[in-house]
Amino acid sequence: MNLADMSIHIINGLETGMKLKYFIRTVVVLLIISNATASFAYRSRKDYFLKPQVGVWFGPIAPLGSTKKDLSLENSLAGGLFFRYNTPFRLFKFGVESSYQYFPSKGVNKLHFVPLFGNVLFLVPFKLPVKIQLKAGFGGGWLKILPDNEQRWDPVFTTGAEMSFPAGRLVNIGLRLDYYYIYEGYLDGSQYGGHIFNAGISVYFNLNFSR
Amino acid sequence: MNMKNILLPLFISILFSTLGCWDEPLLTELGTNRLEVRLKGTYASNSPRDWIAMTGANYQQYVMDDSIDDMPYITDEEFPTLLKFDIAEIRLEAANGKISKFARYRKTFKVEIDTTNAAPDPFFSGEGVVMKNDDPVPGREYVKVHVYFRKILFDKAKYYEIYHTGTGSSKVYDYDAGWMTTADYSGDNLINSIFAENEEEGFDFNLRQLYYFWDTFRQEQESTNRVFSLEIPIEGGLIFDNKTDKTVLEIRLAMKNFIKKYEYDSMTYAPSYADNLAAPVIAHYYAMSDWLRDARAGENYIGGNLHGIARSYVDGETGTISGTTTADGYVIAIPSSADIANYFIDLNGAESLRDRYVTDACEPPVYPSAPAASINAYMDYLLKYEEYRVGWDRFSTDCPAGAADTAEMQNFVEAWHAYDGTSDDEDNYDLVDDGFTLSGDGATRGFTLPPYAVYSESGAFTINDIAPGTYKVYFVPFANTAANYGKLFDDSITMTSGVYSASTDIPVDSGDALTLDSNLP
Repeated sequence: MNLADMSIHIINGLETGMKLKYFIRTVVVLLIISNATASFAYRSRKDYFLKPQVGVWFGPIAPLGSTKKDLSLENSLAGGLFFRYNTPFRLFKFGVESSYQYFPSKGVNKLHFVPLFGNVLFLVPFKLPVKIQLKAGFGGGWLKILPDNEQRWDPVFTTGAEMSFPAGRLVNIGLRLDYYYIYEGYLDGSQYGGHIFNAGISVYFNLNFSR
Repeated sequence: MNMKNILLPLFISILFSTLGCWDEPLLTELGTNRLEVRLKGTYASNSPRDWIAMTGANYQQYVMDDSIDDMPYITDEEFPTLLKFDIAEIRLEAANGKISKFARYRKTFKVEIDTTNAAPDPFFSGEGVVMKNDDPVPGREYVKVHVYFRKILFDKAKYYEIYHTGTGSSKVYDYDAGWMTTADYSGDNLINSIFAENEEEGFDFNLRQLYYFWDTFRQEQESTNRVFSLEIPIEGGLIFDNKTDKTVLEIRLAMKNFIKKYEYDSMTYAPSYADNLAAPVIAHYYAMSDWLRDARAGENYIGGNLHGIARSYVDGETGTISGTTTADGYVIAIPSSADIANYFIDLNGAESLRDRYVTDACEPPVYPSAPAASINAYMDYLLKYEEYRVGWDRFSTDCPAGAADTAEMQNFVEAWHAYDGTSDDEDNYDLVDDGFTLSGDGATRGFTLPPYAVYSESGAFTINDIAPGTYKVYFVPFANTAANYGKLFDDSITMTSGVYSASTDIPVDSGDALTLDSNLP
C-alpha cells in the first residue's frame, strides 16, 4: 500500500463512513513513517562516512620539548596521506598513514621524517554535528639527520584526534591533531626520543567499493 | 573482514622499524655534541705567559699608544680589570667556500684580567672557554672559522672634556692651565656601554675595529668589515668525524699582554655632571695592540689588530713535545711544510710595517679634532686646520709624483697596497708590473700565529695536544726579539740562534710523548 492509496482510503473512509479501525491503523502507519524519516536520513549519511576513505592532510608541524630545545629544530609545514578501512565493529576503523615532515633549523641541524604506520580509529558515539575520532597507532619512521647525513628506521608511536564533517556524499573535511613519539631508547647511548606534534587540515573521500 | 588487510601494513611497518641503516641513535646524534669549540685569549696554545703589569714604566712605554695626542698626559690612569665580549655566532668556511652555520648561539663573556696571576680566568690561563655548537658536516674540510663579535669591551675607559679654564667640571683638561690637580678630581668619568642588554662599564671598541686607516680611503670600505666577522684560518684544517667521541676546535686570539690604550677623538657622550659648555669629548680606551696595523694620532679606526689562529685535534689522539729552554721565550711548533717567516713580520729595521712601506709623503693628513669651546682652542683648531690643508697640498704633489708614474695617486695606492700585503685587482694598478713583489698570502702580509706555542721561562716546557703530523719546532727567546708587551714577533730575531731543530722535521703520532734534544732526528 502506498501513500496515495492510503490517502484515498482515508478520504474514502471518512466520506463513506468506513470503520474507525481502518482510520486509526492508517494514522499509526503515517506517524511511524514520518518519525522514521529522520533516522533514515541519519543512517544514510553515516553510512557514507563508514565507507573506506582515502585522504590528504596539510598543516603545521612542530617539534616539542627536548626535540625543539636540544635538537634545535624549528616548526615547519608538512603534509601526508592516509587510507582507512572499516572493521566489523561500527565505531572502529583501521588506517594506514604516511607523511613527509622536514624540520629545519636556523643552524645546521635538519631532520627529515617519514612515518609509516597503522592505526586504529575510534568514532566517538555522540550525536554532534561533527564527527570526532580518536586514534592511536604504531609503525616505523624513516629519519635522516643533517649535517651528519645519516639515516635509519625507528619505531614510531602515535596518538591523536580528528574532527570532521561531511561535505556531500563523497567528501569530508576535517581538522586533525597528532602526536608522534620516535623511539630510539633500544639503541646504545640513546639520550633522546623524538616528540613531534602535527596539526592539519584534511580532505578525504568516501570510497564506494561495494556498489 | 579480512585480517590480511590489517596485518600486511602492520608487518611492513614493523619490518621497516627494525631495519637500522645506522646503528647510532640519530636524535641523540642531533641533540648532542661531538665537536668542542674552545676559545682562548692567548698567543700560547697551552702554558701562556703570565700577565705583565700595565702600570708604571710599562704604561708609559708599551700600554699607552703613540696615537694619544690630545691627552698625552693624564693623572687618573686606571687599568682594565675586565674583558667583556659578545659573540653572535661562529661559522665555519669549507675549502670549497661553503659556509656552515654550526654555532648559532650567542654568548657573552666577562673575563677577569688578573695581573697578579693568582687565579687566571680560563680564557687567559690556556684552558679556554667553551662555545656551544651543533656539529658541522662530517667529512668536509673546513679551512676558516668566522667569529662574529658583536661587542668587545675593556673597562676603565674614560672620557675627558677639553675646554677652557677650569671653572666648570673638574674632570677636564684645561686648555690654558693644563691638567687639574688630582685633588680636583671627583666622581668618575668612566665610560659605560650597553653590554648584554645592560648598561655596563666599558668602551665597546668593536666599532673602531671595522677598518684600519687605509680602508677608509678605499671604495671597498662599504663592504669591508674586519671584525664582524673575524676570519680566522684553521691551521691544518678541520675535518670533523662523527664517529669519534670528541673533536676540539681551538680558536686563539692574541689578547693577553696585547692590550693598549687609545684615544678616540670624536666621542659624543653626555657627561653626568652639570655643564653648560659644549665641549668636545674624547675617550681613552683599551683595545688590542696596533702592533701590525699602526694607528696614529687622529685616526679613529684601529682595525686589523685582532689576530687569531684556529687548529683542531681529536681528543685522545694527540701527542706532546717536551724539552728544556735556557732562556725566556716561546717555543713554537709549525707544520713542517710551513715557512717560519710567516710567523714573523718583516720590518727590515723599521719601527712598524707602516713605517717601512708608507713614506711620510704618502701619509695623508688627518683632519684635526673638533675645537674646544674657548677662543684659544678655536684659534688652535684653525691653525691645525690650515696645517691640514697645507698637508693635502703637500700630499697631492709629493706622494703621487713617482718616477715614471703618471697615473693619478698611483704611488699612494701602491705604497698602501704594499703595506696591506694585497694586490688589488679592482683598481687599475698592477703592482707586480710596477716592480713590487709581494710576499705572504694575504691581508696580513703572510703573518699568522703559530698553531702551537708555549711560554717557557728558562726551564722545562711541554706542548700539549698536538695533532698527528710532522712539525718543526722553534725556540724564540725574548732576549733578542722585539716581542714584549703588546707586540708579537718580528724579524729582529736571528733565526739561526737559539732555535731548536730548525731544519728537522719532527713526526708526531697519536700517543707520542716526545722529548726534544738538539740531536732529535
